Amino acid sequence: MSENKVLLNSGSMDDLAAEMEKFENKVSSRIDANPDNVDSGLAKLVLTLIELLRKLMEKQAMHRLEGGSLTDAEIERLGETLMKLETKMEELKMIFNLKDEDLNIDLGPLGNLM
Amino acid sequence: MQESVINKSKDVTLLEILDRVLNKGVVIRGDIVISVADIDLVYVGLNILISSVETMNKMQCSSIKSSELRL
Amino acid sequence: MGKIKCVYAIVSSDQPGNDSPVYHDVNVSGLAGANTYAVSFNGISAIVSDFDSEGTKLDKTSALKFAGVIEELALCHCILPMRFGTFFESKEAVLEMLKKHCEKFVHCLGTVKNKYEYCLKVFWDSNLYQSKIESDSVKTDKEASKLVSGTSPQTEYLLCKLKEHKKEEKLLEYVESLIEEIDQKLVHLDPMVKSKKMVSKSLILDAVYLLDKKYKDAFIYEIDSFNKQHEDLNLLLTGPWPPYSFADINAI
Repeated sequence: MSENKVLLNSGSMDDLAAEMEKFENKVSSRIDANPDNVDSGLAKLVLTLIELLRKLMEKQAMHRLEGGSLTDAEIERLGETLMKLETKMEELKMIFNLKDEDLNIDLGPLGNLM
Repeated sequence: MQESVINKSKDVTLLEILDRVLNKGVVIRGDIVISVADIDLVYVGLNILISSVETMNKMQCSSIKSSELRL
Repeated sequence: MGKIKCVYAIVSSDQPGNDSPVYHDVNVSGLAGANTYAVSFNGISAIVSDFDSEGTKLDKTSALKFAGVIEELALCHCILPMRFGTFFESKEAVLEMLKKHCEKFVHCLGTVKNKYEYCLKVFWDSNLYQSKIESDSVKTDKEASKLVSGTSPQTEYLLCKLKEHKKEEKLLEYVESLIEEIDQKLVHLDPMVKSKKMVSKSLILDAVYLLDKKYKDAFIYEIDSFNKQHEDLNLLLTGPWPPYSFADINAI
């Protein structure tokens, strides 16, 4: 198919280049799946889920902070919990040799995870 | 110069096409599972999970300002 | 014959609606050159071809070929494209699938009839992003500091997160105002819209529109006028596409 579907484009399409490269990597990693990388696929999925939950908790925490109704002690505890979660996440990523971009799956209406 | 724009348009078109067939369209569980579809199924489950979480999040956010919530 | 079936799309059938299944050839060449044919039931058809799972690799080339089949079918059918990678054991299994989801398919086909899908991506110069963020952040940083005060590492961490969060919220507000503007321009074309905000630091909006075929030129005109009003944004509009983004019968 040699059709051109581009109807309108402003800018030099160079800013697309970065997006396209990222996307191309995602495409090839999905489409070239084989038994050898299925395992890392599973790890990716599990960590993505955990990361999603962590980000949701972070978001909730921000909303609570903006609500202004937390005591100083609660704020301390919140900070500590979020810090620990993030540290743990970094550890897990290192163990499975995954980077942020690897966990960045398309969540439909929520956009990308990161 | 013109030619590079045309080539870029083609590249963009190709990527858009791939994005569509791999990430969009009707999603039905076939009884045969092949590697691409295999990974796909897992993501399908995740998509449905995420939509429910988002709705839950929306509902909670609207009450977050007025009431106390345990994290 | 025992070959598995690759499903390309669900189309409105040109067979009369009835309860007994019909199979007939479709004049489009499928994956690995296999002939496509229709499995029809009650007014809808699944377009399939035999697939040799040993012989044919599932790679970029076959994905593009798959898309090509859909484009060709879209020329003369009301169509719901399947996601690449949908396979069934037999014609009978395909038929079961059709029967099971018949109502949803019919409903969805009705939604996309005579319509095209378009994709609008809005990019922001990431340098511009930086400077815009910096100028807004003075105010939001102050707000954040009022809410979180303390000197422990935990509160410092939290303050940092809160500042980031506020910056993101401001950005989101800006993107939402852009969406508002586009919606205003398109309201007379009655589109269905799905959009994702802040996909990345530079891709600030990724939206798909479904509208009547007759509005194609009017739509391009409106997007172009939006483009002219925002010199600092880069737009990419592609289409017309078969309704990939509006085809999913399970979408919540």
